[in-house]
Amino acid sequence: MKVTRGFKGKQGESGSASNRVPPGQFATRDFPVLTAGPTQQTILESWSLALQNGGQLLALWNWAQFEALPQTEHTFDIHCVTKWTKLDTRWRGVTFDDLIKAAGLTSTPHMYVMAHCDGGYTTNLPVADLMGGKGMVATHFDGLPLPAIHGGPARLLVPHLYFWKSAKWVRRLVFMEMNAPGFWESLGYHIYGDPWREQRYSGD
Amino acid sequence: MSSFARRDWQVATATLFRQETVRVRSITFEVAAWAGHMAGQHVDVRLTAENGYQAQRSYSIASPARRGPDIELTVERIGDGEVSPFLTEELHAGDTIELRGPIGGYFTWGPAISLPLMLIAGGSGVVPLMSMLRTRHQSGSKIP
Repeated sequence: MKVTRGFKGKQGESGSASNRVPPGQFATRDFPVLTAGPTQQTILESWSLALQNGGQLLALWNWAQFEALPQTEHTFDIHCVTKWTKLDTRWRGVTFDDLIKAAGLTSTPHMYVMAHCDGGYTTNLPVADLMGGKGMVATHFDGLPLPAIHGGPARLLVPHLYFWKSAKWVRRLVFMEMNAPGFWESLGYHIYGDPWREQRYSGD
Repeated sequence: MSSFARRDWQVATATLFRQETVRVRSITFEVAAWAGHMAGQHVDVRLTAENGYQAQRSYSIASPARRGPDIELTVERIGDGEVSPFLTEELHAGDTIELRGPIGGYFTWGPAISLPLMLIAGGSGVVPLMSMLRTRHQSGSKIP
């Protein structure tokens, strides 16, 4: 650690919430928009979410069917690898546990999942990080339908990992036997991405 | 894709400043072991207060792709910001900060890419595009 001459910073400004801001992050009230490609505009009539085991289809929900699944509302803190953290964000959607249940599965076929999205984006996750209420497919933010710029109609939400794992415009969740890198994970970002261990980049 | 080596924090010494606008300053840093970067990549910057408090931000590299030891960052001051006011107003020649990188392998350009490009950015988003233009100029590329 090397002291920067004259730097004081804004320490203490986040007050009691500072223990909720992971190392290297700063809290913002904004909701910045970052994406590797163009914003996807998917109309609800043609939207579906698939659960697959490799190439085998396990379940498929259209929008009406998805909206009829048990809905969970929860407030999370979210952490983007570009350094911003947003506290107390309120989401609604269907938990991964409920998707598994709705698909009629009693156990998950493999230990890893690749999320596939409109626009071709992918990201990989251990199943353990989706189960137990840790992951959901979210359709509402702050009580309103999720706008396309934030990943609507539906995005993956895995708030305990860096936010690139919470893939926008998610359409397919595919179980895979071996862990494999998704889009950013292939481009130098960490394979797991725990903000509390500051796993930003490969090798961290 | 091959594995990426860990990016460790490196000491960077401010050497040159160029005021671009009222709120924007370009800063050249000397980083002894800089391994080079591609146009479009960024670095993470870390500042440390005397009591150990630290702040990190990401900044795009403005200088063209080349091996070290000099890299230039262009920083826009955010009025209520924490790091950008320090970098644009407080930092003097000879001061040291820490940075690590280069980071990012997606939004990059090199003269080996033969397709024409149109570069569009708003505000400080122009910085990585300046690195691309400077890299193009440096390489003598005639790609439109």
